[in-house]
Amino acid sequence: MPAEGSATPQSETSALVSQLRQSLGLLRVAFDATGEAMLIVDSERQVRWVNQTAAELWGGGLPLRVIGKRLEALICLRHLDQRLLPLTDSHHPLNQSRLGEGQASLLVQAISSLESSQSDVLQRMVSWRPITEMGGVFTLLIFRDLEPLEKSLQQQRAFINSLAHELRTPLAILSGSLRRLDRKSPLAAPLDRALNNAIDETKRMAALVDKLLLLSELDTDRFNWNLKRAPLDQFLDQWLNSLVADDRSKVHMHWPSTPSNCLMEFDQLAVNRIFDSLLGNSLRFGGSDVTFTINVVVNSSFVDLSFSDNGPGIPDDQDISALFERFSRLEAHRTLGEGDGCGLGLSVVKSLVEGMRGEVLFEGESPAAGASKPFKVNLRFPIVKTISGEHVVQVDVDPKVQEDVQTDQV
Amino acid sequence: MPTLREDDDSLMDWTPGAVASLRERFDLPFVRADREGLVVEFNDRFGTIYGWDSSLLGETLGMILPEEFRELHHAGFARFQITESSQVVNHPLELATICADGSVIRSEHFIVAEKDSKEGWSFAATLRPLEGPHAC
Repeated sequence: MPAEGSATPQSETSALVSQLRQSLGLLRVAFDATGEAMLIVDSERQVRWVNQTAAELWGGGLPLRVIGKRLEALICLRHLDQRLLPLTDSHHPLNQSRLGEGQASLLVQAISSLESSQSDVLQRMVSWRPITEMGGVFTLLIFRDLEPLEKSLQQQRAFINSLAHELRTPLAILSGSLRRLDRKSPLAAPLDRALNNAIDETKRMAALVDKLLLLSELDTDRFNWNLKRAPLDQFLDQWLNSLVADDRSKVHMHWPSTPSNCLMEFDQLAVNRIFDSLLGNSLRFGGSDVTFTINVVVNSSFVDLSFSDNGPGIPDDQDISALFERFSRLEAHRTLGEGDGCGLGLSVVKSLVEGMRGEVLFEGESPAAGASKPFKVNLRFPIVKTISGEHVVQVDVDPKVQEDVQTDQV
Repeated sequence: MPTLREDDDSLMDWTPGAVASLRERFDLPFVRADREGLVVEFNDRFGTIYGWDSSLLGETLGMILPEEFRELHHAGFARFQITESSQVVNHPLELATICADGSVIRSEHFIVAEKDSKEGWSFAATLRPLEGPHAC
């Protein structure tokens, strides 16, 4: 018999259970009090947990009506331009969560409202986070209303998007008219100069509008990604093959000595645009003898693509990262003769890299006093899957997305 | 004796008193859990329809709920201890109900929270099987 005053194992267990129950209750109260709708779904997409806000939105106020249902039976997600975001799309939060946490601004529609009205479509910042600590694969989805500042920013970006769209047509007409005038030459020398200036400026403006449009599409999640899973070398080879022979000869690829087949998830056109832009930058500012090096380093979960050239570099006091900000240019390059002059090219690169879950890293090298530092940028992308021969080292591909996987080429 | 389904008027009135009256009139299954969610009593009808015997007494009410609802059930009970309010009481809820043999009968649950000055809160659920031989 235990001594008086000492707790029995049974009473200890009872006290522990009571304490756990209280903690659980407090957690439940806290989660129910938040204005964010929260859901936890399992690997079968079945809802396992909801808070009260989610129940209010999709279960008539009762969590019981949401639990056990599949996510697709509760809500459908759309891009901000109303395009459906199906479960098979690799951009769907449940597929994205296999690669880590993230967020996107999306439209959320209750399935129950699909046939009634469009008024139940809500714009929400949807965050996803994989939960792997519980012995199973779960995803936490959080649906947050946009803050006033975010709403204002969204409206501003949507306005720029519309504006860029509207400017495209008159620019195309202007450009066509100028070309027709050009074909009527010979014109008097002063007129010919003016015409050529107008053609150049129109081209520059069209390029600016194109970049602006692309950036605004990326900002507002309206960019139509065409993501495919394929080995890294396939994406890089396709880009190399798209180059003219002269440009291709200036590119030096350095692959790791041990071959490693990394399956990446890229949009080939975006890849081409990123590498074209970096190469174009080097060719524009590096002179005719410039060479462009891509050093590929494969790590366990990511790939580093390190870009550098042997051009004149940039002044020591200039921050390379600043060049990737919008409308940012080197003072030395602020002449119309060099580049497109708009300072958007590298910010497009940054947005496209981030859109494919990558990041732009800047490798600092301290040059001698007064000397220029080389232009060196590292693009880091997550590996979707690593395949060594026939053996799959890491598998995290959703069977529904697997249709896109071009494993036959691995 | 008329079936509950035929008695449309009585179905319209979902109040604790009306449910108690319906329970007696139609001999509906009934189960009660204490403030911790442990089963303290059930009537013969509940045993007959869902197959449970006295071994259910003292077990968590989660035993008669599908697995996916158990987390919510425990969290809901824990929440009630703090807030003394619940979204699930005083209106009918359609839920799958687990029988002793593991089979499932879709049933309508009407849950009432009752406070006793001595025992504190308890939760009484009157069930209406919606399918199977005892559907009403």
